[in-house]
Amino acid sequence: MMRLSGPIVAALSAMTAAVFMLLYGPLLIPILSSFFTVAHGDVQWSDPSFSSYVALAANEGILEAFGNTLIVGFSATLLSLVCGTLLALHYCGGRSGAREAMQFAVFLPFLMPPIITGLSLLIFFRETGIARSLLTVIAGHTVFVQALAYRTIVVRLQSMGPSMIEASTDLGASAWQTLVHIILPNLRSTLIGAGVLSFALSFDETLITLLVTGTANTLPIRLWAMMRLGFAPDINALVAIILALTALLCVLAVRQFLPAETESGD
Amino acid sequence: MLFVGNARSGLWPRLLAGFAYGLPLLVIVAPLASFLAYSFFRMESGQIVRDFSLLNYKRFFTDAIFIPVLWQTCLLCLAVAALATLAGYPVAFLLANLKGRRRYFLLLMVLVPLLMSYIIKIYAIRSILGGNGFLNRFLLWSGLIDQPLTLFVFNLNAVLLTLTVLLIPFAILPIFLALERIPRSLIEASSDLGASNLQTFARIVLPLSLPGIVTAATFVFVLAIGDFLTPQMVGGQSGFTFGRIVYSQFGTAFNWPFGAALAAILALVVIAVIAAGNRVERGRT
Amino acid sequence: MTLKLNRRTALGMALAAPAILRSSRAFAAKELRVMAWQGYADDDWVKEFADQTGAKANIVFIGTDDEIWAKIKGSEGKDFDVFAVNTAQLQRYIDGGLTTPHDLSKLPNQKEVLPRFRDLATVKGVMRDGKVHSIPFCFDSIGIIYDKDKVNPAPDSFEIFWDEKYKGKILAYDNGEHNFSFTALTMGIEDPFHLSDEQMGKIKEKLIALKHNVLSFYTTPDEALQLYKSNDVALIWANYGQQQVKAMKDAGANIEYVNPKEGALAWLDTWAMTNGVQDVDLAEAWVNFLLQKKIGQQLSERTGFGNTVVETGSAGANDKLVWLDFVEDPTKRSDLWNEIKAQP
Repeated sequence: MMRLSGPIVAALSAMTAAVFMLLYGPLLIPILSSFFTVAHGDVQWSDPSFSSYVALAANEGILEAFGNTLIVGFSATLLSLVCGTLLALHYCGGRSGAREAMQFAVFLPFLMPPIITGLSLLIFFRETGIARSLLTVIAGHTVFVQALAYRTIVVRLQSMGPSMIEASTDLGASAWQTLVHIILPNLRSTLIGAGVLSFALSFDETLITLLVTGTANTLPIRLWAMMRLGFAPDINALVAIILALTALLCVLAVRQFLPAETESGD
Repeated sequence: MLFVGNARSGLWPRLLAGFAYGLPLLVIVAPLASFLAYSFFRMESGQIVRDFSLLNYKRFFTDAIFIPVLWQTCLLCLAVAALATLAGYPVAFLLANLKGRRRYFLLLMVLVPLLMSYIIKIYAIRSILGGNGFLNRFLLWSGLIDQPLTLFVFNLNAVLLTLTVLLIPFAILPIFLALERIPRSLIEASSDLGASNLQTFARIVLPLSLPGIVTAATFVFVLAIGDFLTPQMVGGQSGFTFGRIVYSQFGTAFNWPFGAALAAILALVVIAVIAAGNRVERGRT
Repeated sequence: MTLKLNRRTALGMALAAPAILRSSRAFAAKELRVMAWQGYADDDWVKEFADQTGAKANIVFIGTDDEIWAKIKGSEGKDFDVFAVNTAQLQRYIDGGLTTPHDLSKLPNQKEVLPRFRDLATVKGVMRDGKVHSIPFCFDSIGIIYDKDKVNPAPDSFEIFWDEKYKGKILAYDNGEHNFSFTALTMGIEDPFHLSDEQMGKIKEKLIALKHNVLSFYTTPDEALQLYKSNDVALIWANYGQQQVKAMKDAGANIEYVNPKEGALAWLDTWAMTNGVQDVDLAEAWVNFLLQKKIGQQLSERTGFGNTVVETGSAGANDKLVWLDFVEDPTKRSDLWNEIKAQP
């Protein structure tokens, strides 16, 4: 973007490294504990073992909960991106009180304490006769995380400005063509980013999930309940596996979806 | 603006509008509004009495504990938002200046820690920060200190630090997305006109990334204010926040009407903060 | 064309969605929906239960009392068949008509439990109007943890918390409700859960004195452990009972646990059926299954809590336990507690 001098790059890199340490430091502890026993606050380096991984493989409850979390996360993310894009397109289509009201409504579940969103949805589902299940969890998560997807997309659409779209329509493109050929390609990195944020939020959602679920557990619900008795060692193994898998997925996603010399800062 | 001319009369914009108003109305406004209506009811001997009154709101303003706790909670969350944004900006700026795959790979690596359960992370942070935690042990071992630090043991500093660490990724992404969209031509024009890097940053980059900064701060603030677990788990005696008061009304205190009123007030405060943020943004650009 | 197709599919999906949602209900009949605390429904028990009855128990685990209430009340009892709840909390569920009374003839194992829990009429809170609303399952007392190197002889009363000798070496728990109750017990008040204004005033004075004698008020077991490890602590008011004892012994502390003679507060978790219970026999089978000696033994080994079937370390047969009850005015107690904490 800018031509930066050496010292500035060095300073920025140092700051980035510090932030990465803050982000990854806390993850080291469960990962270390997945291989080594931590007794009396000291790591027993001499005695590595895979026993927590073996225990995890046998823990059907946790694995099922993890599977449910993935199902809910992917579904809610997809729905949030679709709904968020459509809502953002409408919001950016003009200025009116109705649009502001719509935006306010979309933000609401995000602004409310989760127990309020969860309880109001539970009562709503009860009164409309919709049985609680993973589907209602997906609905609850979508309502919650779409605010974030929506907001991210609106910021990008607004910075895009109307000129590109006007040019497209002036050239006789239909609204649909404009969407597919102009808007969506320009939203690509935004959609990926918003998707990851949405997934992360859904992945960790506890209270809304608990209130609108039927008999299905998700990982956060299980972890939340475990706080009473403390975490079993296999949870550390799960954390390590999730980290390894997501890092791998990131590498693959970047290689697959982004060409080596990808769109730079324009 | 988006769909002008021939598109206006088409089916697509009308469908879009129908969806944009129908969906929030059905799945958000209907459930939440009917629930927030509770805030005008009251409790009498364990039952919800459906008489309209403003008693719950009156109690908020007359009782001595609610306003100070809400005020302190807001200050805490504003501090977290400021810290996370400050820490996130240089990272986002560096990412935006990287080229090719490396940029997106690092961006994703910023987001990966979000996929670790935050309960696990809080536990890990606690074992790092505690009086006998890894941080103090390391500092003692290295000889940097000879007494364990109490700076981060079960107090407000620990809450600030923990929430910031948990929420930084939510700050980095919006700032990055805003920086990424700044047209290169603007920056080149600026330097062609003899502006220094600092001048270009102050006059072009910073103002144009302001929407991203505001969005980042908003995300962090809202997520921090909705978190009722972190303050309790790392804050010790000072971990009492407004979120906890609201939460307790729905459980053992069983005062849904009052809880609904508190939630409505909290939402108003958050909206006011966001509106103020938007004003800052519009005022500058 | 694209649009038409999209609209039709969308419409179809919209119509189909409720049907999909409802159809999931039809399968629910062969299943038992359980809401439980961690440790009350371990995988091996659920598997064994399935082998015996052919029914699958679907467990949702909860983390706080608040959530159980929000979930059960919010769904008006429809989302679960059977749930774990403590006797103090249970009262509001009975008040709200959210429970279905148990049929003791379907619970043969209840006849074999510890004497303390055999006659349910003597267990405070589980019966109302002659009906049994819940079955005791798991309990723990809130006693005293003392460091054997620093406290000798072993304490036998809460009075030791006011002993000048241990000034600055005591950890107490940060909770107004419980602190008023246990101080009332220490002062010899019969019913610590329903205090008069005058009694409250006296207890407040005594709690201010306690405040000056303690090192800190803790909130979590881990926090107490950290404070213990990094400070000179002799006595702990053990709100988390055996769980705390286990954690401290694991950390190498030379400590012991005792229930004081004036009576230790104790919580008692029980199994109740909701008003929305779909298969009463299956729900009773679940409760009866958990009342086996083997399960009780495993419960205590795994969690440290006391069970109602086999004697354990939580309380000897002769220890006096005072089951927690709804207090007269929780808000008043928490307000007074805040005033005490604000005292210089």
